[in-house]
This record gives sequence, C-alpha cells and structure tokens, in this order.
Amino acid sequence: MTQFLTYLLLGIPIGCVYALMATGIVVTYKTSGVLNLAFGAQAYVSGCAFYVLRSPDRLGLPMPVAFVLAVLVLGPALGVLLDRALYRYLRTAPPVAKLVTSLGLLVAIPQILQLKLGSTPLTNPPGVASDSTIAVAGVNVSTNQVATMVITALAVAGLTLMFRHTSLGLQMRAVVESPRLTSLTGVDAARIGTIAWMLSSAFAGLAGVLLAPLFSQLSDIDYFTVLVAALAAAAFGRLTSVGLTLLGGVALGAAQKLLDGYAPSGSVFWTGMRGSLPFLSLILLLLFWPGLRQNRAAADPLAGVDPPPPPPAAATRDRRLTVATYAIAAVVIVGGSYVTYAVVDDFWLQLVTHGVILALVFLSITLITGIGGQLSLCQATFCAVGCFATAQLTDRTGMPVLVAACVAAAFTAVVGALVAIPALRLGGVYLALATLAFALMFENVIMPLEAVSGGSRAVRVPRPRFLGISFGDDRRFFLLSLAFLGLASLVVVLVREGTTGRFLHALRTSETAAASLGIDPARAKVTVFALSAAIAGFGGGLLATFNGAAGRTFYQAELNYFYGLVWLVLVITLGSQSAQAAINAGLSFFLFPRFLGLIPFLDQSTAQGVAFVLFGLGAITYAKFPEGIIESQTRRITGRLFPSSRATAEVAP
Amino acid sequence: MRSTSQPGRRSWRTVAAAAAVGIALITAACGNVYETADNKKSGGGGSGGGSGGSGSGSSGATTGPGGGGATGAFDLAKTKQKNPSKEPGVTDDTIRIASVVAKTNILKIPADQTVFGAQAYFDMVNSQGGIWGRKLQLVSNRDDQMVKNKEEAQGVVSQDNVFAVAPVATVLFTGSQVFADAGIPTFGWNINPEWGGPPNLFGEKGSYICVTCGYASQSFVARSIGAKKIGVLAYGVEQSAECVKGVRAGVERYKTTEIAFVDDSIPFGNTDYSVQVQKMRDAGIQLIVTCMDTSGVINLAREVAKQDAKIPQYVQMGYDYDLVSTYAKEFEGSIVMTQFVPIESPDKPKGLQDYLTWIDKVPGAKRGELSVAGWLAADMLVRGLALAGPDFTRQKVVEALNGLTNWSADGFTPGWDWTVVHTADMTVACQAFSKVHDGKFEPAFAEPGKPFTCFDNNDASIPDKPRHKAGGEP
Repeated sequence: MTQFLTYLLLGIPIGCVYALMATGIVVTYKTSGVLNLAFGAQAYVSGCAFYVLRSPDRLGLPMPVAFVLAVLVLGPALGVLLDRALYRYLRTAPPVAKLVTSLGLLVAIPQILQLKLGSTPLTNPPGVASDSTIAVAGVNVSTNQVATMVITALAVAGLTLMFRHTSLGLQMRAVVESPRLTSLTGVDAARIGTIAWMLSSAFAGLAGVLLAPLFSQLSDIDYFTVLVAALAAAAFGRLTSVGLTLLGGVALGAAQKLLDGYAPSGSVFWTGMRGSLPFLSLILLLLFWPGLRQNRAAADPLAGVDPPPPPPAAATRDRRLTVATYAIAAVVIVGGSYVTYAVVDDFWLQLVTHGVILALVFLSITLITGIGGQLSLCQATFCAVGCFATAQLTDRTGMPVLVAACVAAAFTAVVGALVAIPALRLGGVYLALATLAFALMFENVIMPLEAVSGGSRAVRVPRPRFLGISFGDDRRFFLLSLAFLGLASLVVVLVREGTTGRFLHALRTSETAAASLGIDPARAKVTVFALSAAIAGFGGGLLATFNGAAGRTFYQAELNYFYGLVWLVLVITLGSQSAQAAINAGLSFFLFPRFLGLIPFLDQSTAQGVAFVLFGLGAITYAKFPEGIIESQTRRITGRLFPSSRATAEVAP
Repeated sequence: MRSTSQPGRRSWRTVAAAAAVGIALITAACGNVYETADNKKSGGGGSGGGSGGSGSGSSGATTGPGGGGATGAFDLAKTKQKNPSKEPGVTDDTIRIASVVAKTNILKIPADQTVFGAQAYFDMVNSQGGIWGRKLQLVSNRDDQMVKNKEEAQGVVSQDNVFAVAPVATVLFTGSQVFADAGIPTFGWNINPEWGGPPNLFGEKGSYICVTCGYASQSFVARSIGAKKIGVLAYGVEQSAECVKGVRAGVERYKTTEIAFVDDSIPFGNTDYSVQVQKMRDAGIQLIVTCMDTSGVINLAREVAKQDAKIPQYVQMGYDYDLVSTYAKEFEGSIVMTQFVPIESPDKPKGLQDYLTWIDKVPGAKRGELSVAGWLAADMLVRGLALAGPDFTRQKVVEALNGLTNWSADGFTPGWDWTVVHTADMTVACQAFSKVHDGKFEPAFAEPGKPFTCFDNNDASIPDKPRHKAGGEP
C-alpha cells in the first residue's frame, strides 16, 4: 500500500504538467472556440525566450524580469498578434477551419523560431525556481516541480473563479458562442476576443516556462508531444471545465506512474500500454465521454439569420481556366516527364519520383478532406500501413511487389474503415483528434513491432517487374509511378463526379437534408475513408519499393505522424479539392525547398525552414480560401481577366 | 428513397468486378526485381555517379609510402608525386570531398562537429603540401536534416563531383545504399547498423555493430567499481530491446554482477524517471546501464540526483565536455566508454597530439567524441590515398584500407582489422574508460601508456588483470 501511494504521489508532478498544458487548451477553446494545436508551439516560443533571457551564457537577466518578459509580455503580445492577424476573422468560421489554422501555425511558428535561433541546442533550460529538492511525504520533488504544481493549482482556481464569477469570464464565453448576439448586448466582442487571446497566450507562455526544466534541451517536438498527451486530460474536462481538466491531468500522471511501477517489463502488451496510455485514453474519451458529444450541439443562435452570401469570384471556376489548366497540365506533364526521364541527373530524378509518389498519397487527402469534408490527421499512418504490409508480403510470401501493394491497399482500406466506423460518430475536430490519437498509437505501439517493421534492419523490398519489363531502373520506375499517379487521379475524379462524390457533396452542404433524401451519411463517409486509406496504402507500397526497403529508420524519415500534419497543411494550402493541387503539393514538398535553396543567400537548411514556414502560413488562409490559396488566387485573376465568366461555376479538375 | 442508392450499388459492383479482373491480370504479369547498382542505372540521361573508378585492384595495403605494414603507417613527405588522374573529384590541384551530416536535427546532436574534426585533419595534411600533389578540399557540406539522408547522398553522387565522402554523421543513415552502390569511399561516425556490410563504407570504430552481443565492458566496469547489482533502463522500442539483450548476455556470461532491476518498456521521449529511480534505490542498485538516447540519459541522471540516489551510470556515448560540465553534479562518478584514447590520457599517442594541435585551429570546433569521429574519418581517407599510390582511384583506396589489419590512426584508436570489421566483430575488443569527476573526465582503469582495456570475446570470464594496451599495439 505504501508503494502504491508512493507511485501515486510520484505521478502528481507529471500529472500537473499535463494539467497545465490541458488547462491551456481548455482556456483557449473556451475563450476563442479554437482547439489550438499550436498551443505547444506558442509555449515553445516563451520557453525559448525565457532561456535566452535567463541563461547566464545568454542575457543572464534576473528570474523575475525574464519571467515577466517571457510570460506576461511576449505571451500576450503573441496573443494580440494572432487575434488581430488571424482569429478575429475566424470567429464565425467552422471549427475545422480554426483547427486547420492552428495546424498551420504549429508548422510555421517553430520553424520561424529555429530560423532565428539556429541549430545550436538550448540545453539545460533554467526553471523559475532554484535547482534544489525538497521531500514531500517521503518523495523528493524539485522546487521547479513544486512551482509547477502550485502555479497550476492557482491557475485552475483563478480561471474557475474568473469564468464563473466575473463579467469578463461571462463575456468571453458569450463571444465564443455568438459574437453578434454578445455585441447586441453592448459588449465589444472584438475587444473581449483580443483579451481572450492575450489570456490564453499568456497561459501558453506560462506553460512554456514552467515545463522547460522538464527537458534536457528545448525542442518544439517535446512541447507538442506533451500537448498531445495532455489532450486526454482536456477531453476529460470536456474542453470546458478547468477543474475536471486538472483532475484528468493528475489522474493521467498517476496512472502512468502506477503502470511504471507495476506493469511487467518486457511484455509487448504492457510496453504498448505504457507508451500509448495518453492516446488510448484520448480515443476512449472521444468515443465514450458524453460531455464531448454534447459540445457539438453548441451553435451560434444567430447563425442562420443572415441570407447566404453571394458566391465570391474565387468560388467559381471559369471554363476557360479549366481548359487552360488542362492544356498547361498536359504540356507540363509531358514536357516535365521527358525532362525528368531523359535530361536531369539522378538527384533530381529521385526528387521528382519521390514527389510523384507523394502526390499519389496526397490524393488520399483530396478524397477525405476535399471531397469527403473530413479532417484526417493519420494519412501518413495509412501510408505506413501500406508500406509495411507491402514489405512483409513480399518478404514472407515472395509475392510480386505490385500485387503486394494492391493487397496492402485493400488491407489499409479495411484498417481505414475500422478507424472510421467509430471515429465518424464524432466528426469535425473530434474526428481529427481521434485520427491523431490513432496515428500516435500506431507509432508507439504497432510500428515498433518486429512483425510490422522488421528487426534492427529494414525489410528489403524489390522493384516490380511487369509484363516482362523490369522497373529496377530508376528512370523506368519514374514512368511507372507517373502511370499510377494518373490512374489514382482518375479514380479520385471518378469518385468526385460519381454517386459517392455527389452524396458527399450533399452531405457537406447539409447532412440533415441529405439524410432526408435517403443518403446514408455513415456509409458514404466510411466508403470515402476506406478508399482514401487504400490510396494512401498503395502509395506507401510504392514508396517501399522505390526506397528498396522498409523499416523503422524509413518510417522515422518519411512517414512519422508529424509528417502527416505537414502533408495536410501543404495540400490544404495548395487546394484540397482538386487532383491537380494534390499533384502540385506532392512535387512541391520535395522540389520547392530545393528551388528555394538555389537562391544565393539561402543555404539548403534555411531553405527547408523557409519552405515549411510558407507551407504553414499558407494553411492559415484555409478559412478564407477553403479551395486553397493558390487555386483561389488563380481563379480571382481569371475572374478579373474575364469578368463575364463569373457566373460559370465549375469544379476544378 | 431507396432507389437513390441504387446507382451507387451498381457502380460499386462494377468497380469490384473491374478491380478483380485488374488484380488477376496484374498478378499474372507481375514479378520482382531486386535493386543492384547496375539495374538502377540502366536508363538514359543524367550525369550519374561514378562507380568505383578503374583501378587495377592492387591494394597496396601493406606497402604504402614509408612502408607502414598492416597499420597503414605512411610518410606524407613521400606522397609528393603528382600523376594525372581522371578519377571523379580529382583535379590538378585538389581532391574534392563531400560531407553529409545531420547539422540540423530534432535531437540537437551537434553532428557538424564531425566536419570540424575532418577539416582539422585536412588542414594538417594541406599544411604539408597535401597528398599526391593535391590539396584536400571539403567542397560540399550537405545537411541531411536528419531525415533527408538518402536525398543528400544521391546529391553527392550525382552532383558534387567528389572523390570521397568524409565525414558522414547521421541520425538516420538512409543513404547508405546509395554510397554503397556508387562505390564511393565513405567514412564517418558509426551509430547506424547500415554501415555494416558494404566494403566501401568505413565507420570510425569499425562498420559492424552488434548490439545483441554480450560484451565484457559493463561487467568489467561493474566489477571495477564494486557494483554487485546493476539496473538496466531502455526504451520500449526494438533497438533498445536488442541493446538490453546484449547487456543481459554480457552479464550472464561474465557473472561479475547481477541485473537486479530492468525496465525495458519506457516510452520513447519519456522525461520522468521518478518511479524507476525509486525502485532502483529500493533494490540497492549500484550502477545503471542505459539503452537510451542522450536526452533519456540526462533526464535519468537528473532524477538520480534529485532523489539523492548516488548511482553512477555507464554511458557508452557520452564523451562530451559540454554534457559533463553542464550536468557535473548529475554525472558525478559515471563511467564513459570510448573507442579512442581519451584526451586526458597522460601518454598521448601521435594521433591524439596531432588532433589536439589542429582541432583548436578550426573556428567553431570543440574537442570531444564527434570531432574525434570526423578526424578519424579523414585519417582513413588520407591513409587510403597514401597507400593507394600516386595513381590512386576510388577502388584502390577502398582496397588499400580493406587490407589493413591494424588501423589505429597513429595510436588514436585500439587498432581495427578492416579484413574483419565490415561484417563481424574482432576477436579482441578494446575500450578506454573515463570517469566523470567535478564535471571533467579522468582516465579510468588504465595503465601508464596503455589506455585501452582489452577482452577476448572467446573468454568465458574476465581475467583478474585484463590486458591493457596502447593504440595500434598488436
């Protein structure tokens, strides 16, 4: 019993860390309506600022000064910037649009910071307290941990009081629910919105500074990992209750320590459980915690009072633009393919082939997000499932690799459907969270298994031979990849133009109205989810055979969950609704940073960072340009050139 | 209303039938072909990469200028003859070299220190007029950003027009096959199993890594510090699990200590080791062996210090001055293993003396494990060039090095047998140990002039007085 209590006590400090991050998410959601996945990135900004201000080998300022500047000045300033530049215009946007914006910031902010700070590691981050320990009930805790626990408790108490008993708290909640209704009561919704962002960003700054001593060196990935784990605590608090969130965080920390203490070492099951507890908890809470689903019902009472706005110029596509697009595409594809096949060196050939395969994978995002209207954060995981399935099938059975890739695609479709069936009950941002949790479960539990990714050495994957033609040659393989990309594009276009696509279009417009016409929403969504997974899985198979091997190193380098987020951001930036945009995105992912690197004053490392910043910043325009910033600007320019064409509505190719 | 979905059903039946026919046709027409350097390059266009030069195959491994025998000793003064060369990356005046390192990586490993180490060696050689009438020039420093190693490797082979690659220092070595296929001499920091196998890839401590093999080092360290009970901590991932297998095998074989605590299920990225340290304290653990990355090792050390448990760690990759000075209290008493002579060693071999002379002249360079790795990578390249003779080719360099049975970089390393260590361990394994005290390294368990402690892998037990030797000593 004593040991049990000891483990419980040991879980409280790390539980408070989760609670602090989770409370930040709840505060942001409650005061701005944004499920802010960039919260960790904001925290990272303040963590780095505190490091630079406080560290003796940097500015070496006194702790209170550094704390005030990093938390109380920089945090709120970032909040004001985000509100004025972005979220002010998203107050009435759908939750998914806000989530996509936060994903864009998640990608862009750390890259901006790293471009500024360089690659020098920020090691041994200082804390707000001295580096000493005290004994509490027989357990040694550091003074920084005590500070985190005390400040978390005070913050939770203060926030609870503010939301329940102050007019500011009430106004903040009201603005989130209905800015216009709140304005009608004489409240300045814009001002309250700004204050809300200042508060939540200060909270991010606080979390960033308090969490820093937890890490041996500062890294945005570490902050994001803690954030994702903390999402379970936020879900426990139904994204609204800071008290329950604190409880959820502490419970999660205690459960982890109890598992550390009692789970048998060496067991595959318990190893998986320990690694995936936060993500498993998140999935279970999303599926079965009733408070979360009640949240979905919340909507602006004045949402329907305005007539629908006239379609902007950018929402329609001139037929001449479509024809021109087809013509240019044909020239670019034929010319580009010839140049790639016959002219460029092996380096560029590799990049373009890689881009072509990735474009095929990106078509799965076009299908699920652009056509299906669902936000899936696990497309890279589906790609990995197909990749490893192809590798194992060829390795264990000697199956021809193209057949293996087809079987792997079918298998991935089943996995996709299994993920979709429970997750689609959620929809919107909760579906996104569930798919993120699945991606993390896969990465922590399933991918490391030897039966999946092989042992310490990768599983060798052969190149295909088809109709007697060997594709061991990289240039021939490029042509094969191009053919598969064309085929996959055709499938996506056929789905979009076919019955399923029309059903999905109807569902995106009004699920209730579509259901009243006899359209089964679940069936249509599961179908598109499975098909999307199949395309990603087939792309994974092609990646495996292109690379020649599939293993953990390959997964970490190409398919980890964070890449899935970057992919989504990139596809959305360029346009999630057209196959053409997916192809552009696939090629851009590899080629754009290289082209940037050709600029004389940009080295390749900097160019990669700049490219990611631009990808991220592009995604934050999603709410305004859901068809993609590039696509919308093209249409806008066409609209100006040919004003008479605005009435012609047409779907992009 | 039902009829609304009828077209969908028909459509899907058609699609399913078409797919079945398609798969049947594909199955009938498909086959596999495994990649080789030849079948990958058979297409048209592109500049391509070289594939190993055109040497005659004469190794020259034991007959380099100055006659160094199987150690590869050579006299730079005797490498002044300049013959024309058509080898890739060789001009009248220079031998062009590329590096591929994870300069930017999320683990924040300062891998660019390996480049500084190699640059220091090249500076030393160039200050004496270069080799075979040419200066060594690092013309391409590619940052693989941890995850783009294969791309950058392809870039080196296709675009950089270099003779060799030195150093490679990666977190993920996905480009190993590209270098192997191109036959380009490649030298670097070996922490990846992908180094093993290809004859043209040379890691600074041999190319073969066997993580599951039970070596004597932990058992020796445990006995030396009087640790009767050791704890083993590892992440719950396959690489760590294999490392734990190796630790177990060693401890069970040599029986100088017992494993009294194991946690090999720690989630990767874990930052809180409070329960593990609590349990190790309760179990009376006297030495911790880890199979974790540097962040894990640091966080563990901090927790040990926090709980005032006073348990030292045995660290296999921690010869890092910044690390031990930053965390002096946390690593006090810990033992660090290296496979080169520690800088603090009182009797410094020529290789170490040269390193110390030249490394401080390179802006930004820091003494430590990584810059040593770069230095050693450069040493192998230069030694291979010297041994290959004035008509050197890539192939001759590779073959010359692969004929060395005791490469020690002038006593800096124990001495590696390149006829063995591409694909297997040497029979005798030698390491040097340092103890952390007051944030500094102190040589440990060594004898004057003999920094390395050696164990015969065929022995069933650790001798009471293990053999000590100097670097390069037979």
